[in-house]
Amino acid sequence: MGIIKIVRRNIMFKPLQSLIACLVVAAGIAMAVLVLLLADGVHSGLSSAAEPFPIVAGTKGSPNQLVLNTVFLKDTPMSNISYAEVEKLRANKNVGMAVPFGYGDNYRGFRMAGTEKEIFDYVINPQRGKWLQIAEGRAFEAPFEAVLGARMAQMTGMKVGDTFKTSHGMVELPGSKGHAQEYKVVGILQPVNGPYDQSILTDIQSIWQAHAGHGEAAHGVTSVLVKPSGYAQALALLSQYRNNKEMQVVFPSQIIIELFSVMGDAEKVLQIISYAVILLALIIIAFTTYWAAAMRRHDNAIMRAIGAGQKEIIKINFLQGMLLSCIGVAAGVAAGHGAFAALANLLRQKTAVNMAAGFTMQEGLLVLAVVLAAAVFSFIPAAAACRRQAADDL
Amino acid sequence: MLLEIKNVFKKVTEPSGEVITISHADNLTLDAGGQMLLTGSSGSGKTTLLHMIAGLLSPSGGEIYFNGKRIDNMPERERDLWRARNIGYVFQKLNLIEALTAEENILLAGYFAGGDMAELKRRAHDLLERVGLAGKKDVLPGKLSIGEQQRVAVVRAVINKPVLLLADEPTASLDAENSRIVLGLLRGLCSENGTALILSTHDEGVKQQFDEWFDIKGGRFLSHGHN
Ligand SMILES: Nc1ncnc2c1ncn2[C@@H]1O[C@H](COP(=O)(O)OP(=O)(O)O)[C@@H](O)[C@H]1O
Ligand SMILES: [Mg+2]
Repeated sequence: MGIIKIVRRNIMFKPLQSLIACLVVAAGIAMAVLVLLLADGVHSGLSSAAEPFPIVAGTKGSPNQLVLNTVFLKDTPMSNISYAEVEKLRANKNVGMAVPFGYGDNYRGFRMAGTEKEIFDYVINPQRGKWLQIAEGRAFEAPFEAVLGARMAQMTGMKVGDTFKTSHGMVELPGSKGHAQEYKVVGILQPVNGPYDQSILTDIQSIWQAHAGHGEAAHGVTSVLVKPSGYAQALALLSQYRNNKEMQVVFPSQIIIELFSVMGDAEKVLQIISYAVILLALIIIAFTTYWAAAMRRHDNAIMRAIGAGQKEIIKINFLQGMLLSCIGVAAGVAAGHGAFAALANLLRQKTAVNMAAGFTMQEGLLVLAVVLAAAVFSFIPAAAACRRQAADDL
Repeated sequence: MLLEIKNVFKKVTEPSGEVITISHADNLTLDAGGQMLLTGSSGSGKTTLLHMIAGLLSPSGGEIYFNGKRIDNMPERERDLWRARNIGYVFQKLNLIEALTAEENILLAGYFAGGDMAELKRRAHDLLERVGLAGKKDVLPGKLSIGEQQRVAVVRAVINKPVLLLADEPTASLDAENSRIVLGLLRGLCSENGTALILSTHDEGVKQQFDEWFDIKGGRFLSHGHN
């Protein structure tokens, strides 16, 4: 006989009631955790997708479209700029590296990105190392050799040595005329945790040759990935192109931040929602512990009548309230992360944007706040139980 | 003198706003180890008086002394401690904790009083055997008959060898045979341990087994009868 045993017996004696108390707490916490993770994850997911693209250059027009094309492999590709612009950028002392990208073809809905071999040597920064790493096979060496993104290869089951034909456009339309030339898979990439996991990389020469008969501007590129030689140089480059009539140079991370602030302060809205949900979770905890304490009044009165002291009554009630709350909190955190993982997976499948699912500081604070609230809400009725006239509850 | 009650009463306010006296005892005394029968019809205020003696309910007026010490105005916390050390109580509604087995209900009272678990277990086992429930020690109260629950409640009340045992209509739900057994058991256990006993009943049959009784009528402590 002891406090722990009494608490365990009480919880197990009414499994349904205990379960409901846990579930209600868990549901509140799960919601709050999910909203917190989403607020953080969407932002970090988009930002991390943009990380390999410090600067993108392309034709004058919508910067959003240029970022969507190049970073997220979405939206209709903008019109081409001439390859000479790539060479001009390479000659610019502010530029460390410039690699062209040409979009416009797809295979089964997976975008083909025509680029140059140099991209395989591209180092984002010393911490992240090389952006693209070959998991299997090799990089492309010649036109019509293709390297598949990790996810694309996994989803299609394609292997090194397979051949395929692309079609023009962003999605494969039934009956649409495909290109005659056949591509050969020579390599498969390691995951990059971003949209390029669903891409097909090839030599931009392939695109030019495939489109030779279409009358499009020869040797055009959709965009250029630019790695500036330094931070000051990046700003210098931006101002050099500010008044350019044909070209624009953008910082994708900047565009994403602007996108967030433009979209009706979506983050702030999400934050307000998350605070509201957290408040709701706290109220739920308060009600659940109060309800559970009310259910224990009779037992408390009996225990006092047979000799329990204030200390024992408080210990038993406090422990029981805390145990149920903490189990609920743990389950809620797990469920919140589970739901987030499911949503992140959905987003990844649709866009290959990877929302990070780490534990955030805010989540830690949430758990701390809820556990503290549970402690207070468990303690108050426990202490109040000793002030009650025992006969009233017998 | 173990217990002395002076003009104790309990008043409650009815929903109508009317204040009524539901229990009243002018003068009641009990010596250490003594046994007293409290009689009165249902609703006469027996339970209320026993609750007040046990310190589970504060009287509206009057004084209660236990071993010469006034207990009715003790702070709640001090009273819990005093109760744990001195009082055993067999409730009219039994009040066993449903989540605990028969044995655990008994041991719980010993645990709160700070008794030695091994010693308590041995004593609980002996007592359960004596009341014919040794085989049911691991059964939950909900699975016991009322008579069996009654006996568990009796064992729980005497496990700490209290100075005063209060038994509120312990035979109310029992047949004549079981009634006699439980009554004999209670009185026997009390005599053995030198425990004083106040036993309430509304049953005329129980009166026959006591030499004298106090009759509580209309909330007032009235007569002092003799067989
Ligand atoms: N808290 C209360 N409020 C109002 N009336 C009460 C309360 N407790 C008991 N009573 C009433 O007081 C009377 C005495 O009750 P009780 O002491 O239980 O009598 P007995 O145990 O002799 O049957 C009953 O009429 C009962 O309904
Ligand atoms: Mg009664």
